[in-house]
Amino acid sequence: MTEQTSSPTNLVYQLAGLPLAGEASGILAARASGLEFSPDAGRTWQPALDSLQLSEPVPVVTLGVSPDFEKDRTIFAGLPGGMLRSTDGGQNWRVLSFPAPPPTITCLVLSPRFLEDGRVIAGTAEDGILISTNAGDEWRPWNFGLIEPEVLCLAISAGFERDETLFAGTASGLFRSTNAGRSWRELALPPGFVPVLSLALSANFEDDRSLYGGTEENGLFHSRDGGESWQPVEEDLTQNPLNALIAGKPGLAPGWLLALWGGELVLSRDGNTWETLRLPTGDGQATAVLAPDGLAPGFPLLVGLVDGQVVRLDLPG
Amino acid sequence: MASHTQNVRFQPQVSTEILQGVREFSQLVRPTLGPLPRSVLLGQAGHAFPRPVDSGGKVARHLLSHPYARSNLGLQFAAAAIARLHTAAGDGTASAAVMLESLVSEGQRVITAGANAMLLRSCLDEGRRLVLAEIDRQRQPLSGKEALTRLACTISQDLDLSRYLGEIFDVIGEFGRLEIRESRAEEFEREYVDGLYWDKGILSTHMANQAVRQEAFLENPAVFITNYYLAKASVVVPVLESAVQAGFKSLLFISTGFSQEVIALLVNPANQERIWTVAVEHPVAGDERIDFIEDLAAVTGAIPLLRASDLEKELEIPSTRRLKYAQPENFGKARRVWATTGSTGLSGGGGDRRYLRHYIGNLRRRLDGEENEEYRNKLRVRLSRLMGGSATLWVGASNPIVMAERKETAGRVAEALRGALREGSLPGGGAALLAARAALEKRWSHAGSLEERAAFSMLLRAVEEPTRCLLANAGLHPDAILAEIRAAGPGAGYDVLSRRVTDMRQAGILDAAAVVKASFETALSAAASALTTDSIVRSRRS
Repeated sequence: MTEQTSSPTNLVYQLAGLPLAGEASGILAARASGLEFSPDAGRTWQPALDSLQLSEPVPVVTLGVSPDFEKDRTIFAGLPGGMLRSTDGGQNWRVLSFPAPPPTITCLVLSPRFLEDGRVIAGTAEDGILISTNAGDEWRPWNFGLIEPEVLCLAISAGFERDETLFAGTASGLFRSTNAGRSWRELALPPGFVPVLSLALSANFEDDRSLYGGTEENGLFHSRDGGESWQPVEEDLTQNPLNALIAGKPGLAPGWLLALWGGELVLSRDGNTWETLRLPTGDGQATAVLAPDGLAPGFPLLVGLVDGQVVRLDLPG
Repeated sequence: MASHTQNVRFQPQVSTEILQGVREFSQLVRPTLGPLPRSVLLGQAGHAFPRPVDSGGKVARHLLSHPYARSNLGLQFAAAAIARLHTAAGDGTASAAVMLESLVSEGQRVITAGANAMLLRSCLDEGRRLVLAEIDRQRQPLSGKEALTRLACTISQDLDLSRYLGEIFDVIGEFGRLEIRESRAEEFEREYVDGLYWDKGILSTHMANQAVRQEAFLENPAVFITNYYLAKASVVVPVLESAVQAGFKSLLFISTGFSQEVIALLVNPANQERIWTVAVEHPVAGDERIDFIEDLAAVTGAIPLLRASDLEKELEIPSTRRLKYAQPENFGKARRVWATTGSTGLSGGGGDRRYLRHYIGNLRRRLDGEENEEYRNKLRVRLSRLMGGSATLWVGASNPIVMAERKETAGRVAEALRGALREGSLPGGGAALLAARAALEKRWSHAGSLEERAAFSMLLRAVEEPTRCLLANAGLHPDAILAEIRAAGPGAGYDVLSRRVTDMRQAGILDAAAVVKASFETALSAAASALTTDSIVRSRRS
């Protein structure tokens, strides 16, 4: 079943859920025209950066939401030239300061223990990795071993508190850190499997060491040993960019993997066979996807489209 | 004016002198072996109090400059070998000393009994390969802050220092650049620097655009590299013009040297208005300068304009003329450049990353194939420049004596950690050497000649010696415990702190493989030299 929702105005780069128990979950959309907030799971949208009284729209490229959002209401929004932070669920925003020259933030991850350790890791277009350990107040580059400064995606282990493991997909390779981002080591990918546009770690990564990576046009690859060795997964998923990957969670649908491939949504229940999910507006239109409750039969997906719409789609049984 | 008299010695006096000196040195440093080390007091000229040290390497260095060692050739010989080990590996000196004593003492006994020294040496060399293969078999990669800290603590017995060094090497890795500096505070501190830097700063404070701190900071500058000495302002103008035409607002100009005329041109306010230029020199000379230029070019994407001096002489081309041909493609890029009066740093180089990766790969392959330690060190320095950062450990202490001690220890532990990252770790406390006994025993059982039997028997005794010494230092009886360790199997050793035989790796008691190998090889090669030396010519200053 699908349900079409409202029609905001601009391309969606990323969607992020704001989980609130006992209340309707909010959704943020990072767009070329700025940041928008939906209090009703995408039905209606309102500008989220009004408090900054900006003279012109600022594109928001990426979002990071605190894993303890219910307690700290913290959101980060990455922009070309810097980052914004809200600590009241998106009502008010503060511009964060960075070492000059201003970086273009391309991706963001927060430590699963963000509330305690204040650690935010940002990937940038020209400055590699920037890390804050005080919830964004101060930032410094950590690029030991990261010889490619154009970072396209980041993924963090669910067991980060113990294994301190992060992955950074870049324009020319894939890098792993096992010390919370302070240094990086390049992983040997199969030839040609760059740039790495998307990454998905198993929710059980600490134990099963499983992760997927998506490339510009060479498809999907999979590692079962934490990135030491890789195998191409599906020959059909080539020729188009794999812009986003979402892995299933244990207890729900552990083997599931959802990919945003060349504007289409494709789902695998076993990591081998794939089915295309039909969008109400036609194929090849998706630019962002969010699974607010995870992947499982009947669970909703929110899909950002190339024309700015956000539509809801239920996962098949 | 001093003159030299010569003193010549022959056998059997030579053997006696060497053994006596080697034994004396071993006795001196024995107490420093193990996790419960005792100190050696070193008297210092001009100092009221002797200095307590707990490292065989420090004792060796002290002795090398001591008049007593100059009159005791055996002692001097042992101290020189151990000092070299101390410089190269940072640790394992007392182990090497006790193995050396055992090998020389046993070797002289079998030579006296009729063994041929040269054949014995050849058999010892076969045994060396066997032991090193056994050590390699036990190696495991070492990584992670915790493991590095544990290893550092095993070496230094200083938990505070070990925590800092464990973290630093977890970040900078095997090739990372570490500077150890004195802090004004009493505590340790560390600092990480993104990118690469070198010890040459701005040539005029007029180049500093951060007036308060007298620093220059450039955002997205062009980077121009040459090995010309720039004497005339006229030859620099085309480079500045080319940079302006390429759209750059600032320029890092790196050259062999700049005349006052050129510096005046660069800091002229009208020129600075158009393009703010920071001029700095290369940090090194000779071949290393070319290496530096190549590395910087790979990082920034610059195409350096280089003076091909021989060719120019042949063609009678003035050496500065080629700067006229500076093109936009000669300029590299960086995200940021900073320069003080003493140093210059650069991060976010704009070089092609695929080329840089290929370039780093080539240097690594050269390092793997290079046997000369000096060249290996140069290659490591170059790799550290290219890998993205460096660290400074600020050593704090309550007084200058403790400061010197801590700095020396920090340097020693840093070398050992670098070696451990390069070659991995082994079960500690001498267990890795003990585990080589099985292979030596098997080879000994097939030995035919007197020399073969003697060599493998000597090595069997020598590989036990560090553990024997460590146990004796802890007030224990080595024979019974060695039997217990043997019964427990490979990887077992004695944890003298918990007073039990244990699996050393599981107990977190580790040694750096590079250190254990260097220690064993030092002892063996020194022993082989000692056993095949038949005469001594000693120069004495009179």
